[in-house]
Amino acid sequence: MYYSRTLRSRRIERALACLAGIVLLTHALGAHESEQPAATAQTNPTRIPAFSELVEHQDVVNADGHRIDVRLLVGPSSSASDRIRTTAQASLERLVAWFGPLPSPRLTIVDAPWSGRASCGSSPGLVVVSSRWLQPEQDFSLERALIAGLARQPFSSFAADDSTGGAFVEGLGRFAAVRAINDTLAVRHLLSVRHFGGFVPYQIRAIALARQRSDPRPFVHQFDELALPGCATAKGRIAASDERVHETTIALLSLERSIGWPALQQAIATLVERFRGRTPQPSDLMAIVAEQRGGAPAPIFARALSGRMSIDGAIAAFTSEPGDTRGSFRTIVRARFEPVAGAGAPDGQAVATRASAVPLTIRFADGETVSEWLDDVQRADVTLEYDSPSPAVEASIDRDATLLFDRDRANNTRVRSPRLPLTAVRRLLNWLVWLQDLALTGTALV
Amino acid sequence: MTAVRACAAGIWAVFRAPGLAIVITILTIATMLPFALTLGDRLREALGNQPPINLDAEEIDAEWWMAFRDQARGLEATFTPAVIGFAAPLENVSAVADGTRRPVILLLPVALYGLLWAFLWGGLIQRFAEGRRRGVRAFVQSGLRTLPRFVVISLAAAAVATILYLTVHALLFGPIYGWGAAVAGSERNAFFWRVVLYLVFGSLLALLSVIADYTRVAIGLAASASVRESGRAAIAFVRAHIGSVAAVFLLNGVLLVLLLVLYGLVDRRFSGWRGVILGQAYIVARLGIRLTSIASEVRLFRSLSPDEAHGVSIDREKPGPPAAT
Repeated sequence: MYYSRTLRSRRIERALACLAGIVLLTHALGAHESEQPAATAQTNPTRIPAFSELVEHQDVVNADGHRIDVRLLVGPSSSASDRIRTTAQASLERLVAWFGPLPSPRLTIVDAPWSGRASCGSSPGLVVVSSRWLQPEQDFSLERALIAGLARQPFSSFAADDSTGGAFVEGLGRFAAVRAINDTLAVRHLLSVRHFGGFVPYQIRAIALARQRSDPRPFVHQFDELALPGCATAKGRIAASDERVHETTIALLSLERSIGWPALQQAIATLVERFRGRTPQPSDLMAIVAEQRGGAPAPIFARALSGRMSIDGAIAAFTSEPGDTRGSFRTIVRARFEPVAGAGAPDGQAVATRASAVPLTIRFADGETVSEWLDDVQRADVTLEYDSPSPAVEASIDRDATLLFDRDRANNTRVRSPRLPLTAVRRLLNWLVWLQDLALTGTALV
Repeated sequence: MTAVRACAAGIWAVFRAPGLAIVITILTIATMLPFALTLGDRLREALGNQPPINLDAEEIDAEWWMAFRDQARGLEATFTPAVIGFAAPLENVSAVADGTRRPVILLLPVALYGLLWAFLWGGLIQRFAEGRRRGVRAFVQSGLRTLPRFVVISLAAAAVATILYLTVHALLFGPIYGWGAAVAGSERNAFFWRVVLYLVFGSLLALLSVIADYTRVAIGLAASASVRESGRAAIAFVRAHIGSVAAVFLLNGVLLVLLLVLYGLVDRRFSGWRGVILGQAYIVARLGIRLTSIASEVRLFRSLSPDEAHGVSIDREKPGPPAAT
């Protein structure tokens, strides 16, 4: 008995020692994330990875009457050259038509071989992408990465700057990329996810990232490739250091929704032309917009473009009760606007004064709709009252999602009796199947 | 051949008892339904408070869904487009293979389901060992008799699996994979290297799984055995018959892979409500494969173990009084 206990104890000790050794070894060698290797973003790549073999293709893109010589460098076994060519042609045509000729008539696109850590990036006259081994036709991560890199080319004539202007220029590039991605990929754009370390792609056919006919405005969702131009990544959110650039991009998308794409496109094209070799500021763009439209947009957009405008508009209270008169209803809506901590105006009143382009919409049960523009707001808290023959069913701030820099849109709308649409019920049942599968998989192991 | 016979017997046993799969499917849905209702409540509020712009669309607005996903926490964070159709099992398998961290809240449904199966195992072992219907009462009695010990087995296996993920998996898919990917020379080779590591780690998980399964079988067939004794017996059995054990495991694994492939191919043709029905049919089929696995393990254990290893716990009907002559 003593002998068997000692033997068992020794075995246990050995097992524990083995485990401890594995833990120490893992930490010593540096644990990586279990997903695909992180892409290294280089906004100014100073080198092209040394390849033993590269196949060079020369193309000429005729974009809006302007000739661009495109040199495409791909690996010998790369099957992505046609896709890169087609996408480069389509997106360059758009970018030149929108913002004028590129600073340089020559462009080099490199399809860098995968090497564990993808090299990618965008600099004047150069875009480095990295196509994947498994890159189905419906997986547009390569196209998005390429477009994100090309979209920065029109703005490469601006001088590099680390101040507000630098974030603004980068924001312009991302905004142009969002626009170009939406227009170039259009109805073919399906949601794609990657599994098994990021190697195996799968397209979710039910989710199209193209806009509906009823809402043709560009898809706002920030693709990962925007932050890492040229990098086809499968994960990651915008890094914290990119927050300001992200806010600028969102502000430009909001401005587009407010004044329309033709007006904004014309203004940006003028900005590119006037500020070659210099660093434009957000106020320069707003001045051009005011000059071309004959009036400035709401001040809220100027602050948003500077990356200093973060508000949270909310419906704080919403009631619709029978009124004093028979057959009438009294609706009370309380809306508030608050600067988000660490950003925005220094005091609530200043926020409210600048929040003068905020639409408030109230829908009633009989189909009537009341829209208010909060133009005379002098404080950050507004209460409105209505008498109507039918009760109100919904109160919403910015229902059409124009002010995308509203930090929390979940509190923008109040519905008296929310219901779950049939579409959502169907997806909920999908989720139930997924949960059953998860539970089956989890319990199969133990 | 023993393994093939055991698998064939397992498949036949499940075919002869289709009600089992149906009942267990209902129990599975019932266990998961409260979570779906909770999520549904939150979705209703979210969709009401942050409505997609086009409410008449046939699909949830993709932009709304991305925004919802970015802000969601807890159970809501699992409501992503990756739950649709074949993307769901693919995502789950990938998460197991890659050791992807999940929201902690998901431990609750998995734990509840583990408890359900700890109960079901007892009745299923008896059912497949005897090869005949036993009635609901006898099934429940068998399940309750072995429930505490099976819960201990599940907890122990979960603990070992967690340790494996924190140690071996971290080592394999950290520095070892990184080194291999760096010298691979191409993405394809790096992927194949990763597949090799999946197989290495998968073997450990499979070993853990079969030991836990045969421990349960040993307990189920010898009701008086303790967890420790049955665990030793299971390890000895696996060691002595590693070929047959592995063959049964792999044959059942092949069934699962075939099911996944079939689901992946068929799912492309269905959408909408038919896609939902197809998904649930996949779950039923998966449960059928799990029952087949249990039945084949019971058969294999009984055919290869010494008689005393599965003693007298099989509830034979008490013989009635001698016939009057």
